[in-house]
Amino acid sequence: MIPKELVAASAEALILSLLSKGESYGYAIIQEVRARSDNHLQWTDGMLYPVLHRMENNGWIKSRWVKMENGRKRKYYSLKKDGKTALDEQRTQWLKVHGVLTQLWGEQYA
Amino acid sequence: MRKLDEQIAEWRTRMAAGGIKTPAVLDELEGHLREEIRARIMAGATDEQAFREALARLGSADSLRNEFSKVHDSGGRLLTWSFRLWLGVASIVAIFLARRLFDGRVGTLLAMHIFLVTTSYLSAFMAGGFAAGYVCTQWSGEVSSSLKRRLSLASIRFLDLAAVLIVVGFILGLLWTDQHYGRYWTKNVREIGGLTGLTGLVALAAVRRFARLNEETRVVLGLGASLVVGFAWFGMLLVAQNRPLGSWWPLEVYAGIHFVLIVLNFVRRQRPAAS
Repeated sequence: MIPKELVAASAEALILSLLSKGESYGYAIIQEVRARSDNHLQWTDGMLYPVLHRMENNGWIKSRWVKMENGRKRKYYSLKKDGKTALDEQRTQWLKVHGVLTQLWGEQYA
Repeated sequence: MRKLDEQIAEWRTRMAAGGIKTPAVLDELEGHLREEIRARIMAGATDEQAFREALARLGSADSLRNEFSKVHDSGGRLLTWSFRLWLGVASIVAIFLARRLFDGRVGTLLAMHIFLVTTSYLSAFMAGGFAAGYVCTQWSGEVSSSLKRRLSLASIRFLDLAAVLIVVGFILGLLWTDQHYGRYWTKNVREIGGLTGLTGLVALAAVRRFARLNEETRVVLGLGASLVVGFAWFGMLLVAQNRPLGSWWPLEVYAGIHFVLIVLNFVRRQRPAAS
């Protein structure tokens, strides 16, 4: 299991990356992250929503309520232009971290 | 299912008592809770088990309240208070103009034109102020990235507002000029100042709208807005008063400060992060 500090640090990058593929909602985002990480990356579910709201306040994503067939509402999030820019920046930063670690471990185990 | 609805209603009450009071937030969390419960029931859990486990996954009211309180941190309050400040100054301008309107010293069209252009310039100065604040935080290592984001966001929000207000204000100005002089344009120095402000602010807002700029580059637009308005307003006043070039130094200092801030903004980006 990945420690919660690392999960929290990567939350924005994960959400931006998922939303770059299309509109989604909180529950689906959590399920997809869980599935893609073979259950290694797990949020306390409720913690996703403050992150989504903060990202919306930052102007990175926008939301809309959609009425479902069962009459209940579901809040969908999608990426805004500033979110795409933020994703580019975060991708660069994470790739740098990944590059350094790969380099160091390559030297260590060579 | 009725029991589940009752349990969820009780859970909402507990969450509200624990500090999660916004109905939209509770609706969103409830939607999540119901989906998790349904998935667990489909996987074979009883209603009671599914509810208990889904609740545990969602987190307690205390932990959620702590996380949501970070959403409305000092950066969020900054936006709220800056808008209140803007409203306060705009109200003073409106009261001043309303008195002149009732005295018959200005007509409705001119009063609206003055109000819109003045509040547009005020917005541009605030855009510049937030951008300057952002550059200052770049040089201070102890400022949260959230506050920096909000400063950048506040700067562009006021830039957008400035552009919209000046477009409408300028059109009303043209209509007033047509009413009083029989033509839309009289080559008056104030009109040229307005056109300068309009062109600059709309161009900056268009760049911000259509170009994908990162946070640091975006704040330059806010600095540009206050620089443009400085020249459009004070520069044209100096021209109107036929002031000799030697007396333009306050505007030169004003422009100099902006250029220094722009340079500092980019210099900071190339500095290694402090350990």
